[in-house]
Amino acid sequence: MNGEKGQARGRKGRGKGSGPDSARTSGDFWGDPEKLPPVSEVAISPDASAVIRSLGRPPVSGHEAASEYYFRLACDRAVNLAAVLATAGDLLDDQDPD
Amino acid sequence: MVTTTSTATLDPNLALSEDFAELVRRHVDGRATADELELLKANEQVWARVLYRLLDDVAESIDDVRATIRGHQRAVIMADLEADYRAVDGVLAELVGPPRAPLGGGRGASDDGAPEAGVAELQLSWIPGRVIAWAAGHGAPPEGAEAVRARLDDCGGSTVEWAPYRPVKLGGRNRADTVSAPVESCLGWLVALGDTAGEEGIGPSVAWLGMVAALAVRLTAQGRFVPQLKKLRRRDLGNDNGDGAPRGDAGSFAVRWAPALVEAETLASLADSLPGAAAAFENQRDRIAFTQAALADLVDSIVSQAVERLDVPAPPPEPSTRADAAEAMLAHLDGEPFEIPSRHGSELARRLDQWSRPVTSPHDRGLVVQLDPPDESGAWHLSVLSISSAGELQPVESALVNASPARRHSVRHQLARLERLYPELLRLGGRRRGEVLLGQDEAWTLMTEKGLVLTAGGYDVRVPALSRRRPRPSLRLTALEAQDSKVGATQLADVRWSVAFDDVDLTADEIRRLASQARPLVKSRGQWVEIERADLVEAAEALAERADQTRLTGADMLRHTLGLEGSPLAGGVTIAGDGWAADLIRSAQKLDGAAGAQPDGFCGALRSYQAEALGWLGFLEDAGLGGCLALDMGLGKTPTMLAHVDKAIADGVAEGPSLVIAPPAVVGNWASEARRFVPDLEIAVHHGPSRIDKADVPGLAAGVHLVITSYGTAMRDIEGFERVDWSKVVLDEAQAIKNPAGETGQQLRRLTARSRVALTGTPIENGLGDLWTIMDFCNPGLLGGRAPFVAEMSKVSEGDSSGEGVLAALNGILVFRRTKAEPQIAAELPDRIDELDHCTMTAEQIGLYQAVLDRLVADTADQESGPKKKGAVLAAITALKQICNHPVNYIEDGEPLDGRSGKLARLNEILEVVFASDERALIFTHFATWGERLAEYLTELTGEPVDCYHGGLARRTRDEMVARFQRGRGPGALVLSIKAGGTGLNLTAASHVVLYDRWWNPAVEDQARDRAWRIGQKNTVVCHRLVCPGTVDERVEEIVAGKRRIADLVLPKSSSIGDLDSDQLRAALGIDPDLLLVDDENGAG
Repeated sequence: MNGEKGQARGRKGRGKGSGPDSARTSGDFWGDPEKLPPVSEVAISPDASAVIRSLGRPPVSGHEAASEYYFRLACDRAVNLAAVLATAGDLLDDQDPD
Repeated sequence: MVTTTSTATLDPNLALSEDFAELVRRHVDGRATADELELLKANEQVWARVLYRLLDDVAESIDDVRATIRGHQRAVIMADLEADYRAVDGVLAELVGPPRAPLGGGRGASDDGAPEAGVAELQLSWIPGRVIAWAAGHGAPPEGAEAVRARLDDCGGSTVEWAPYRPVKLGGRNRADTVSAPVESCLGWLVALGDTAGEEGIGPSVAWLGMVAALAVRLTAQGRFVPQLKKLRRRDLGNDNGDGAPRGDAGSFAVRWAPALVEAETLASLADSLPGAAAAFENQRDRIAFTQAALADLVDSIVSQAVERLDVPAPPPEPSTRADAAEAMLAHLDGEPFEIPSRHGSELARRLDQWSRPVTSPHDRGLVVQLDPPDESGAWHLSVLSISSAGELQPVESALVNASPARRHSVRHQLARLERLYPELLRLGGRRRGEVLLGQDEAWTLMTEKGLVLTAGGYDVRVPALSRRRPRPSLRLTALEAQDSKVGATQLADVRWSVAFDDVDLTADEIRRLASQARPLVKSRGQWVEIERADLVEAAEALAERADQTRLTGADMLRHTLGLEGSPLAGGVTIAGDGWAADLIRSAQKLDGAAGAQPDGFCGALRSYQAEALGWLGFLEDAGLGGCLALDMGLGKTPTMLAHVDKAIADGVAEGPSLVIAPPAVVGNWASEARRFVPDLEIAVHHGPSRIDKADVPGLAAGVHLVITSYGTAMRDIEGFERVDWSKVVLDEAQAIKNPAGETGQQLRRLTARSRVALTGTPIENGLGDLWTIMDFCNPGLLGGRAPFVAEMSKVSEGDSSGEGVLAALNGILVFRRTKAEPQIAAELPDRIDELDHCTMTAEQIGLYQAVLDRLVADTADQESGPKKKGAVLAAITALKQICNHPVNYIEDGEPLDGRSGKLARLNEILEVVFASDERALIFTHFATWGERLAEYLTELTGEPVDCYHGGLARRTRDEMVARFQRGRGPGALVLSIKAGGTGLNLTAASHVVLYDRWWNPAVEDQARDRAWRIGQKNTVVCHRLVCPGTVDERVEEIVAGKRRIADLVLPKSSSIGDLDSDQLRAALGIDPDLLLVDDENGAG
């Protein structure tokens, strides 16, 4: 790549010919169902707050322990709601490990 | 994806620092030196990220200026900012390429670029916090708001509250009406849209947003989100005029839950497929950035909604300190805005951003956590590996030293997180950082529980294959010495006992050692499994009980394998090693489902299960064993057995003739089936008063391949039969010998044969003792005593009154069992099976028959031909038919029915099988009075109420009778007069029909049979026709079968029935002694 400022103008920006009108008549505006990736199945984590815990103590002055506690509660609730949504959307990975 | 590969490297801390941002800024302004440019090139990914951030900052500034500054000053500032935007945009274009114009090209455009006429589809667009629905398509005009709502209803969006929203601009002057809803109100609906791609009327933008929602759910379900604190701008607060804005140094902040550990590949894939319609309201032209923003909004929406009802501490009333700011944040985890001093809020926001950065950057190369199987000491080796840019695995400690600075930085953070999640890695004594030895218990926990947590944490966890199934223990009996196959059944051999957990064979010592471990693990079928401690205890006890059983005969081993000696372990007993029994079981296992080749001399086609049975009979032949062919009634035992006899002869393994012993009613059937299926075989029927003397039986047998006789005859002439060395002795309807103390079974044991085969559809009629008697006849002594057999098999059949469980246990070795209820068998069967049963005549029947005929001849001897004589002949025919049915059908004498009619005996045999199979039967007769008598008799005999349906009953009574029969479950029978019950009724509860006597017109019989064989019938219907050969009964059968006409019943053809003289009458109606089957059974069974 060339880092010279003056040569970086070829990218389509807000300039002439690249406005919404011309773009919105093109086929890609409407998308192609065959290009869409498959939907992945959802696995429920057995330890909802593991990712947050892995970061160490939250940097919340004077309230580190409390924040750990409330973040864990929030994680538990969120994972539960996600499980409900996944079930409703038939996305749950119900594969038996065997 | 841009990768960091350069000699010029950058301090990773700098990459995240403001210094690096300044470097990027200098380059955009054209002030970067050559060295600085090299440094940027070496860190292209970070460079691009900073550029995107710069672009967003400039765009934000432009928006702010537009909103807050007026007049000339605004124009000047705007010009500067727009130039700035273009400059940053230009560098970004050089670095990552031009943005694919909104999202242009592709679907809907024809090859020449001209738009094609299309159809409108539902579209969804996303803006922060809202989903917007509209309907239009490439080359199709947009639809109005009502049509959009109708489309939303059609795809399940009716539960969402949609509000009018501003139109979306399309090409030219096109505008599409829209409706919108908050993201949080339509989460469930969005998630279900992910798999709508390609559905009619639903645009790709809908499926795309559904996929982003599904990804948001997946990340949230894995706990992949972190809290962040965002400072809100005026427009975020919903006003631009300053009303409600914070006072003084206070700022408005809100918690946002950001997605974490988003796989770069997943994000790129979604971004690549982003339809422009989904971003129709956004000026954002970077697909990745738009996708990230939409994903972040959805994750935040899910988590915020989940946290709404969380009990959190009350916020401080007037937050002023850093601690107050933190407390206020904890009180607003649901995303509600709150005010805190700006400096504290910004500091907290920055610290949270830094804290969470290891998981908020795009996640592409996570560390690998690899667990290797245990070494000789039983220790499992856990190592943490890094993936190099070339895709190779290297110890993490090595990566921390040798990788590029950026990678080192990433690895250091990932390892630190991993060590927090899995502190075992910090245990002292490891060879180097990122390596540790684990015990069985720790390894299993990692494989089954902790590994899932680490995976959710963004690590690639690779553990040996495991299974949570509980391995089934079985006793294994290994024969240590080969036994001669001829005498193997009785020859003693050394054996060893062990316990197999699936495919893992454990001795008593090994079981003791495993039991002492905290977590008993074994590798079975390539997977690690945990053995239950209770199973180990049981296994140890089972082996201790058998410690002194070190020598067994082949028969002993076979009994153990068949479960006849019991086993405390769930998997029973298996056999291994060499020797007669092991070879036998292996042969049977190899046989499993293999079809035997149909012999060339067999005229017909065996069904697949019959071919399998043929293979099994060959296996018995080879092993020198006997067995029970237990095909359900109607499945064709006779042709299968005939094929086997023919094959044994063709293969040269038959060392003598074979003997079939059958109930008298089916002796004729065997002969006719043999003539039909194996016409090349020489057969002899040894039955009836005109049979040869028993002393001549050996001579008879020597000249034929197959001798057919009845049970009674076989017993009566047993001295003759026992002088023959039979290739095989076949007992048809072998339940005839079920009484172990019965004379028949005892006498027939005197016969010598290479193998004995029992044929029966109901090997267990009254109990397991029936089966033992049959099996003990087939293989004397092999199965041990009757009582132990019944006791052990009772455990197998616990809760199963039919005993099918026992048959299944023995199936394939000593028993070949197939039933009509098996779907693959039923699929192969015709809807209906017709069987012709030849019945005997008792001496009483023969005497009566002869007397009626003599009287007819005497009475008509002097009569001229004419109606009167014709009437007398027809009356006599009726009388003769009644006598064939039963003497009581001719003259009611008040005496018991048993033992006086071959047909009744055959009916009893049929019903015995039907009732044993829990099935139901219809019995048709022409004689209503006889039907009533028969019903009474059957009620008494079977213990089940059997009605008689005839024309003399009131309609209501008859209807109730039919309803009762149809409602009934389990065994049952109904007798019907063919005249009253032959038409119109629906009696599909029955799967057997017995035509007790015959009528001249086959259509009448067909109609009767069709009471059961009709729409609604789910089973194959077996229709039995009872006929007494050599009597008028058989001549009627011939007429019914179309072999002759009524008028041809007697000769000459042109004559009327009234023209017959005495000799012709005797020829037409008299008994043919060559065909007659005489009931000479005494004490059968």
